[in-house]
Amino acid sequence: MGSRSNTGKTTAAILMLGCVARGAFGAATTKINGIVADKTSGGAISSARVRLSQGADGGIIAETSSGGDGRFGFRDVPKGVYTVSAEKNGYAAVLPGDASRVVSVTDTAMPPTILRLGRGSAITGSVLDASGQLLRGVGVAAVARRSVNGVARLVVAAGPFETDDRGTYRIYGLLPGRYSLALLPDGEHSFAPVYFPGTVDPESARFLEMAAGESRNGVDLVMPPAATGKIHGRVTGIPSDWRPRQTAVALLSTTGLRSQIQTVQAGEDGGFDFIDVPPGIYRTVAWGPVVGMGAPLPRPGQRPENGALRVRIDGEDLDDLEIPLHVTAVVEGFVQFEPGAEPVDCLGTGQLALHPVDPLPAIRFLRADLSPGGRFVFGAVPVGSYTVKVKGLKGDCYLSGARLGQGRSGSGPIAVEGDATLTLFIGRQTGEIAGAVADPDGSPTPAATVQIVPVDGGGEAGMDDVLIASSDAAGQFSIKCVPPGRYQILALTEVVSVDYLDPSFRKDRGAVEIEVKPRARAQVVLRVSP
Amino acid sequence: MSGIFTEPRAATILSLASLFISSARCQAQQTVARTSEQWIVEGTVTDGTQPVPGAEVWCQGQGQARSARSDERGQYSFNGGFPGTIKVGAEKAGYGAAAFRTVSVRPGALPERIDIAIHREGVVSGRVLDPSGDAMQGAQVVLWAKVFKNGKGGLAYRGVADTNDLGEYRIAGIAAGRYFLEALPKAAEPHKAMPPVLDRAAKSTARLGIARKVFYPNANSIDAASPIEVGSGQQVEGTDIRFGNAETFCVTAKVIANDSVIALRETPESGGASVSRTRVKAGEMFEICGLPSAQYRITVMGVEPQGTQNDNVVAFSRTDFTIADRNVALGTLPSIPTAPLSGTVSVLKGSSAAALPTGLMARLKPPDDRSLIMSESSLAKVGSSGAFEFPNVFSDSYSLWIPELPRGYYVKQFTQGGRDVRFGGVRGGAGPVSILLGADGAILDGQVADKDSLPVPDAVVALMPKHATAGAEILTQSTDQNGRFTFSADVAPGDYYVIAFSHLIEGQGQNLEFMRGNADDAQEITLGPNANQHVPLTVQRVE
Repeated sequence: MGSRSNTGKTTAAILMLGCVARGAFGAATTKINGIVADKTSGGAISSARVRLSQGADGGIIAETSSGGDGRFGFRDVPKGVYTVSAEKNGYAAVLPGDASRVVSVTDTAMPPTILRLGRGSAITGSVLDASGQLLRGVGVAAVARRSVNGVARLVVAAGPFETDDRGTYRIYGLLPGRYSLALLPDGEHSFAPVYFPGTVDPESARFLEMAAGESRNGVDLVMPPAATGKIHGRVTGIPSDWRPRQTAVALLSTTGLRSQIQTVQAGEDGGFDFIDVPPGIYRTVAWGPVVGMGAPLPRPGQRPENGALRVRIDGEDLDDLEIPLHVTAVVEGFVQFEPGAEPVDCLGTGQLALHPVDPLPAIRFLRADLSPGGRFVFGAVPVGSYTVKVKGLKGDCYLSGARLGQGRSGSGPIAVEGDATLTLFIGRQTGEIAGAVADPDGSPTPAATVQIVPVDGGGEAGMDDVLIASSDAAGQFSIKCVPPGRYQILALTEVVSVDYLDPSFRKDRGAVEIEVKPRARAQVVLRVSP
Repeated sequence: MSGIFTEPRAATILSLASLFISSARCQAQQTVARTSEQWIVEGTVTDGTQPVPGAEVWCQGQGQARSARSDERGQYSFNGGFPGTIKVGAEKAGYGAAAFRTVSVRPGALPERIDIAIHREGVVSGRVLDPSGDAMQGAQVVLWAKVFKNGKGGLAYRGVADTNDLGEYRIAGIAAGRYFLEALPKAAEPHKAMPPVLDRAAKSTARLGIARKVFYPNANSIDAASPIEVGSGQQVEGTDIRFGNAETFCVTAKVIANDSVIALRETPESGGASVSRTRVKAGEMFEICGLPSAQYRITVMGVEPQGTQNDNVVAFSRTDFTIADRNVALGTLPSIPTAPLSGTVSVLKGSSAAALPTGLMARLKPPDDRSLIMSESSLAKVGSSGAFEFPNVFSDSYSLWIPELPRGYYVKQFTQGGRDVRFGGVRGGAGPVSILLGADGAILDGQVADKDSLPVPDAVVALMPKHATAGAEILTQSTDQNGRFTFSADVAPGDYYVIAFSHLIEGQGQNLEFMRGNADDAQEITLGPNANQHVPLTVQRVE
């Protein structure tokens, strides 16, 4: 199970005792000084918002701005461990640790903290229908390929931004990298996502390579005409005490972007209709009771219900769909600590997430807080498969496995079929990755950036999940405190984009996939591309 | 200027909700009984001269709410079975505000020809700049029109846009008129309050920050702002707004009972600008900084996580405070659980028709400075005994009323715990309300004509009690296609002024000062119990 603590950020940032940043608050105070610089040019960035927060993942406690020379400072900071982070409109971090550093404040003077931000880029263009008419009020998003639940998928990277009265859009704040664009359905517009330059097939989407600070104009999208079908169905098993129309049904795309194409209320007999459905494979999900609009709050103990069905539409109507509702499950559980992992060392303000393997309407993931005793409750889990992710574990603690009910403990998705107990195992037996970086001729490459991306984790593998190392003069690198799991490792002489998060980019650049085992060292030889 | 009311970044906690709200107006099923006699309303949607095809046309009233599209010649048609007054409206993307007409219908009569004019949209665009002249991203720009609300001067929101990375905004879909532009910076984010040492060292003094609002071009109040005149179809470009600096302070507080959504805004008296809206954890001290001197209102909405689609709001409170020249510590904010609000409707004994009408509803409206929260009650059925109940009501100040009282009925007395709450001030958790109806109300009808004795459609007729003390006591009606109007309910016996105007600002007919100022031109009229009176009126032109 590749669910990780925040070791990535901490190990990338500073040297610490073992794997963990330690420190206690004390009365003695000192200063934290630093500078905010442009990732590409190295120039000073003024008026960036710089924040000081407690520990490696705690709440923000102070805020300041960088001056004209990019410098900032916090005075009278008590001893302890802090995170210093910078942000500015139009800029963002390209590598983990670039814009956010963990610093340990001791009695001695500290070196300046250098934070680096990359310039964002922008894309503008128009949206037209097949007859060339400009379309207003349509949402356009930048999309990118990422590893989600261990599989390569398209995800929304920025937006959606609506086209204005002239039918034009502007997407901004994009980090350098490869993007395609997508028109997304919303409450008013119902269609399957359309990819740049005008296709419903995600495989045919064209990608743009955006450099830092670049502005690309005239990127137009065309809404293609599509033969559509209708879906008529019925939700069965609606509890008799729900009011009519407290049941909703959503049509969700399963290929390409996961988006909610249409949402309707079921009629009194549970009947529902989707019209203008383009060809494709969809998931229809029914749920309720929908509260609000005068409908009463659920009674104490009354649980939401949910049902789902996969359908394929290829231009023909479908009129006999039946979606039975099931009571959502209560998944309660606790964490169990493997030898060497103690609650006090691992549990901070933990948050748990269940990421659905199949899309659910309006929910990206389900979340629950981890109590100080390591217990948690998910109150209403729709039947289905989920991957588990834990955020906020301290130090080198990581999620090593999960067991649902009396089933086997494993690192794959869990299948929720009804109320169950979920046991999560927390380990501290981290491994190590060591290796060498060489150029195509086999000569050692110093100062290469090694990116270690988890590929079997819960949810989307984002920048915070990536570990970073740097090769030394002999082209060697090593990184300790790596949670066991599968990783793709990539070496680049210069990191100019966030494409290392894109599984197809990693493949193009010869990333090596390895498995890290507890208390073991994985060896890897990497080639940098010219 | 007494306040900004409407909140463009609506207080909806659940995004799913909007879906079900949007379907309410026009998609209701036609409930007209099948009778042999029908009325027909038909006409053309125009832009003043040319027909407008593809406009959304809707019709509301007499048991129906339907919509249709105008055809390629701009024409539409509705029919129905019940007599009475309906509203017919039209709107279309690319055009300004929706237009609507008041129409009297009678089954079996000749078709009514009602044309509706909508006009090409205006557009206002420009940039928002920070105090140093750089583009300000993520600012919210709000377009306001001056109107009257609940009888008082106020602002009505007419459009909103966020600035992009170049600081640009663009607000389309505007009707011709006079507007004011306000810009608000990104919402202030609360911090976890600092440990005591840091707190003393860093937070004791004011800091130079960005102002929390600015009116075009760089004014700190609407009274000092420059208006923007937008003609029909006009694109007004280059309306740049520049923020100034202000000394700013911080407020600290915490909530105890539930994790809560905290909404911080100026009080309506201070302008009503929204400052911050965020979720905080129970028991954790939070701090919101960057607040210039003003009066603020902090609203606590305690939530109970539901795990999946939504969180229910289960507790509520609001606290007003003033930022003068230092930081403010509010301590623990109250969080009062929602409670049911019950009430009874009864009819004054001794009235000739003392029966309680059937099918009454009671409606509850939150104060003007916030919108309805998901899970908050707003509509309740009045039972045959006269009892009604709203299951989830917050400890806030509401307006409650009985819409569509039958002919001849009026609200005689309306109290909660002995307080008169006829014109607002119903409080959740303050005990049951009691509504006493009179059944001997008067009926007043008439016709409005101009100087040449021609009937005036769409005029506003105002009926004001002679000794009115609140704008809400004034009743208004629009005249139909023949200049006719009828006040058939809510008219207590008594002395009144009645007057008709051709063009009023929205809500102006319920403004007490305006009405008193025009009392000289009004007709005085005494309406006795069960009176049924007719009055011809000559329309008054208002500049």
